[in-house]
Amino acid sequence: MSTTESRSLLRIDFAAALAKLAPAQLEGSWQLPTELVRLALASGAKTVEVRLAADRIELLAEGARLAPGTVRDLGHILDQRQPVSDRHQALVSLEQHDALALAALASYVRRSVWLTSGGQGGIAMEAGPGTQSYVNKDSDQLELVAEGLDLNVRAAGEWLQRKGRFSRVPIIYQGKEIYRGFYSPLIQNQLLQPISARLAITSRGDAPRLWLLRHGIVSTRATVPGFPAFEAAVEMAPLAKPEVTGAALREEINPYLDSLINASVGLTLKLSKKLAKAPPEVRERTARLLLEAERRGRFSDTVRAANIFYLALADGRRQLVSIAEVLRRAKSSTDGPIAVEALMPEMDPEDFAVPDDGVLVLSASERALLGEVTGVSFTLPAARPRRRRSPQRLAAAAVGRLAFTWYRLCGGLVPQDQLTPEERNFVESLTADVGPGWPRQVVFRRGGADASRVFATLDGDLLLPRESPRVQAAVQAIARDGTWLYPVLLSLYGGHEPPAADLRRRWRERASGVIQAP
Amino acid sequence: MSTTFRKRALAEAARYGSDSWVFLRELLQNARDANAKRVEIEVRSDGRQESIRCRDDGSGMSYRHARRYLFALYASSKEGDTHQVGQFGVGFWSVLRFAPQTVTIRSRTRDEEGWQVVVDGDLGETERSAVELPVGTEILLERPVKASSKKTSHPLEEKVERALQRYGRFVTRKDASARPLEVRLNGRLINEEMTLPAPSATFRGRGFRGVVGLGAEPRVELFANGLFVRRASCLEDLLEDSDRRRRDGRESLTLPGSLAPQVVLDSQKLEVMLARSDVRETRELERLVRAAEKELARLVERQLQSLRPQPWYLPLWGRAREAWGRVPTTWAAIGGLVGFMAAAALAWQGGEMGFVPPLLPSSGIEAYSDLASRYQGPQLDAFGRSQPQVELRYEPPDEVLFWRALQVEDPSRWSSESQPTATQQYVGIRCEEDCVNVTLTAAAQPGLLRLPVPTGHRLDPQSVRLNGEPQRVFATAADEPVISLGALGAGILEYRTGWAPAPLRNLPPVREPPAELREAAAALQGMTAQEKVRLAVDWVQRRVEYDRSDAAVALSRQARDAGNGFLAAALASGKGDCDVQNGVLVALLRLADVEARLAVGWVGISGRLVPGLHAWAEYLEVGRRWRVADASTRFSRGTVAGGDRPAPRAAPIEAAPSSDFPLFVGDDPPPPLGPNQLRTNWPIWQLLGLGSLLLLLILAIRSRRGLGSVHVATDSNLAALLGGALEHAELARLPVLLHGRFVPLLDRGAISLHHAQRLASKGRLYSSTQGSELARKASRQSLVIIDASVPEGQVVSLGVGAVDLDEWAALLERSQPSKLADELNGVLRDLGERWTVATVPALGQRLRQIDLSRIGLGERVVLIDPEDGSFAGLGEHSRDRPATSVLVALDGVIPEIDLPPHRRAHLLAVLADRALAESCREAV
Repeated sequence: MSTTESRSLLRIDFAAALAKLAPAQLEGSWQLPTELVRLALASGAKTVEVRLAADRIELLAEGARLAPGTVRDLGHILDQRQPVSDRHQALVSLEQHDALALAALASYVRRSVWLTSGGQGGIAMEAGPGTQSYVNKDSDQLELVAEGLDLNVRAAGEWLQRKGRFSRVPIIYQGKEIYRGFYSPLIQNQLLQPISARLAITSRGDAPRLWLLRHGIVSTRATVPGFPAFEAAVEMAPLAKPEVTGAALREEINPYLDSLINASVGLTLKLSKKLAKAPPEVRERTARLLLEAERRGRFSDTVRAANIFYLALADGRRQLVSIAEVLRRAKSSTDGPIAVEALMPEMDPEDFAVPDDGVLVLSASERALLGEVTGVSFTLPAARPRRRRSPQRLAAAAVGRLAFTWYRLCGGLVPQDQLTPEERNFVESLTADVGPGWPRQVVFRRGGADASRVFATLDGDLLLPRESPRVQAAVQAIARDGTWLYPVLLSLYGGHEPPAADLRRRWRERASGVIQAP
Repeated sequence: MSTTFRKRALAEAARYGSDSWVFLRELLQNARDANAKRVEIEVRSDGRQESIRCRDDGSGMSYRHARRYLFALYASSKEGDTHQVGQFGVGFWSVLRFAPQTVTIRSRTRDEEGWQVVVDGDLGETERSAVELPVGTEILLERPVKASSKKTSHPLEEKVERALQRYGRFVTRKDASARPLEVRLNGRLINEEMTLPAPSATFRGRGFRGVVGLGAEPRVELFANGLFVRRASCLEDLLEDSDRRRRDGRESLTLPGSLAPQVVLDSQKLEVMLARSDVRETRELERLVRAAEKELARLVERQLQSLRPQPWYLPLWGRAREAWGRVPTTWAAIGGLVGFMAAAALAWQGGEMGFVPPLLPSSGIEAYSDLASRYQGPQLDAFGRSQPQVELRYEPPDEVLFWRALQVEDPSRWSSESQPTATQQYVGIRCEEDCVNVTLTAAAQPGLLRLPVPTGHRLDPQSVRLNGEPQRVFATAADEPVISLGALGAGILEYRTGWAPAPLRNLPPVREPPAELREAAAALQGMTAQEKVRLAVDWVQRRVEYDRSDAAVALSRQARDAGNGFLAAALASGKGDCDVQNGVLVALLRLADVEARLAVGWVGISGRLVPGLHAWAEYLEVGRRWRVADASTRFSRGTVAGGDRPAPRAAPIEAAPSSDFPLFVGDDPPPPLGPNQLRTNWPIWQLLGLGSLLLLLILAIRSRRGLGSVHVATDSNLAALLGGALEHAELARLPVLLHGRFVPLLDRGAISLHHAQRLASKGRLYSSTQGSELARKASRQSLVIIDASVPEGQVVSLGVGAVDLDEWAALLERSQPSKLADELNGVLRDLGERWTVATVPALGQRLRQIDLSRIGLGERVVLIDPEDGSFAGLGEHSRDRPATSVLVALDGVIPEIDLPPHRRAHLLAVLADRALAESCREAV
């Protein structure tokens, strides 16, 4: 047995460490430009410009400043004349100062590095095979040119564009600014507390997706199943140690998940307020997300009050209603909750008997979710043939047009000045307004072969037989009570042309009151 | 140094994450990399001291090796070895996270003695000594028991077990990746089969394995060589680039609640990063994720299939529909166009193949015309750029025949002629048996036309018909049969040929034969004709190489331009095509006293001619029969159609050893395999068939390759899957879910979700939970009524909005007689309407319409709530104004029910008239 001091046995293979420490932490050399951009952003860059060639990286970052010690550490690593232990120490120092990019650069570069860093004590360094020089230089930018690399430019460019898309400052790659932000966001905002994050509700995705950034560059991502989908770009640099791994970042974010989810539901609610003018797919997405939020019991009251479902009205308009409204419609009868009438989005309300208070329009996915969170079931409203004019009506209208011409030519029309005051009042009442459901012109005719027949054209012209008891009854009814316009028009048009909705409402109110009056 | 070493080692170990037991993974990994088959871990604690001993039966390491690699941080003997896990030279020293008081390392290789090094926890001192131990490595970590650990009975063992189960339960052997590396903790086996609770399916691929399942929470675990790497909540999280996949619509499957995807994946080809908690996003990783997604989809299908077996064609049909649904209109239009063109091409091919007999040659096939005007004698560019293919059919088709259309008696003295000249009456045969009947479409300049006749045959002059008209047959100076096409210039020729001995003729002598040829001929003297032919073919093939390249053409031309005759030029250039080779063969045979001539024409197989002209030699055998000899190819391996074919009964070919030369003359490459060949050359079909079978086999193997065992669950939640399909449109990517018949009906049948959605959109889907009388009656009317008492029926009926017949039944039961209803129904009856009104208190809605006529059980019933504002009090207070009251009530009903427009108009107008009249009466 021999006892020795460990120093004679344990050693650090600095050369091996230098060669593999940085690359072992990167996906590949194509990640290097992105890491350099991360370094520039961490150093306070206001814009970063990157140009890549197969053997060269150029990076210009306005406003970025590296500590002179960091620049000297890089120089140390690159200086082959230095003892490997010192070079390794410099590498460790770079890593501790969150400058892994420079350590990696030292591993990949084969020819020369030229670096200028601004700020107080600004320094410029040039390192090549066997040469190294430092100059004090005043500059307000970080400039780096590295030559002698073996880069896959396409992969490096794609990586930079993917990872740099949440950067706060513009990143210009090969002369063109890269896209920054979420893909297809419907709404987004900035969260400051308890963690700095940008949130977005996007048009795709089934679960919350978190982009965990360090200094504006994506380090890793995490999905949180089971909650309404959103995307968040979360800046983790203030929370994490410099050499933190992706796995550690995924752990670090856990305590903040709840806040992020709540914030996303709030954002979706905000989006729901803009749905009146939003395309149907945005409404459907919003509705689905809020239903999922309701399922998880997030902001239940507010979610239930948000107007997110289409309601097709009888007059063809659409409005938005809430979960609460759906529940109101499903109010219990003695047999329990009743099925709420709803159409599928692809159905035309014209084909159904839409009640006055409208009918819901719900997709299969909305029905499934609504059914789950509210217990409501759905049914189709009664089908109704379209309000097309019947052939009989078209034929009658054609006869009506001929009759107008005939009576006009034969002088069979009663001149205006020969009308009684009741008749004049009748004509004025019937033509008091214009628009759908109102006659355009009302003319009396004298008797004839078809003494009791009312002629109506498609344009809303009415030719009335003056002596007809039906017409006289109508004239008298209007003379007594103007609200009788509705049944009068129903009668004169033979039920074919629906009188204006307002006339109907007024008459129904009046008639019900009259009938029920003691 | 030891302080620096320790600090650095701990810094590296810190990368592995917050779990301090991660060093156990590193120990297992080292054991695996040392080819261990078994690892035994012993955990001991005596209350004051606790220890972990890890012993493997791997190859061990010499002290020298350990000094170079184990005791040197960052040095690794595994660099560049992709089958090794560790490559960074830092993993072992993660044992420092155990905070050991001492670390003892013992090892022995097969060739060297065992050694032991004891290092104290601060790495200050080391002791080295020799030890006796079996081959392998043993690591012993010791430390005093912490006060906090004493509270539980076996704290250390539990923690180690948990860590081993997390990191190494699936670890495999390096030398046999399919077998587990046996890991035991205090004698208990830690290894587990890579399985998940049912429903689950294991799968395997080249270098990877995995298991997918459906469970309560989504979960993905990734292993490299069976050692844990990371956990994620969905497959997409494994790929940093999954955002692009998402935008491309390749999202992972989302399944509802209790059926969340669970996946465990293990690969030998992943590139683990320094921190061990991530892998590089390589193609292997993407392949792994794709395989898992596919297996998940397959598992869902199998699970569904097991819950409710479906016909085998349903998934296929569903996939086809799904694929069709995904095809954009433009692509569909392009597909249709391509399909149309393909159909047209097939139709054309069909015609060519004899399905539709063409009257005249279709485009691409020439009518037959005499070759004299086109053939320029045996030379490399004899036919210029043309390659005539003619429409000739013969019967019986089972013979391979060489159809001579032009005969060259002296290849060295060829002179072109515009058309043949008839010099005499043709002496033919009268063919009565074993005849070949020929139909030939001809189109030529008015004048004489040679008739193609098979080698060894003569024509039956009596049989020759042009468009049904008998023709006279003449003979050229070379005894070829010719006819006159007359002014018509075109028509369908029919004639008959048969075997016949050749008439006696004197062939011209070979002019100025090169000495080399004479010598070759002299060498053949004294042999039988057959031997002469075989050797002559051999000689020609050796001497004149088949070559139609531009260089060969130039060489041949150069030789001719140098004033050489045909034979000298051919031998000088040493290159030629079939007529050059066979021209030389003819000359050689003639010099060897074998009567021979050159023939130009087509090869006929299965009753049709193979596209492309060919030249061959004809020689007279004993008995004066013309036979074929071909220096360009060996007939038994003929290349006309690319495969073996039976030797011709009529014209046996002298087999000559040669390579597979193409048969064609002229400069154009032979046309692609034509319909004739496709139809006639059965080996091609055989090959195609075999190829297709092989392809199917490969596809089947590929599709089965990944498949291991599948465990389906009998209690799996089909309702949740169907609900999920309604909730998540992307689940429609599982065609079986959409098109499988999983929705139970009251009559014990089932329909698909797709069918249910379609019926519901038309209002023709009904459901019943309690099986009410109404539902049972409706069921007898063959209506589709979902059995909503079953969870999947309930989910679907609610999701798609089926009409609840139980609810209808209850409503009808609750309807009460009322004055209002009586009045309204009286009016409706008077007006001839076939629907009635009933009142139901607390209806919940103003009115509801139940169309019993749709289910064949009566008429339409409109239920109204008498308490609703529209109807309230109408019945009781309408004595004075009944007509107005009826108008008010029905005006509230009619616009909302399904009535034809003219009936609706009529009803309203009549009711309005009555109300007006009533109003008038009142006024009076």
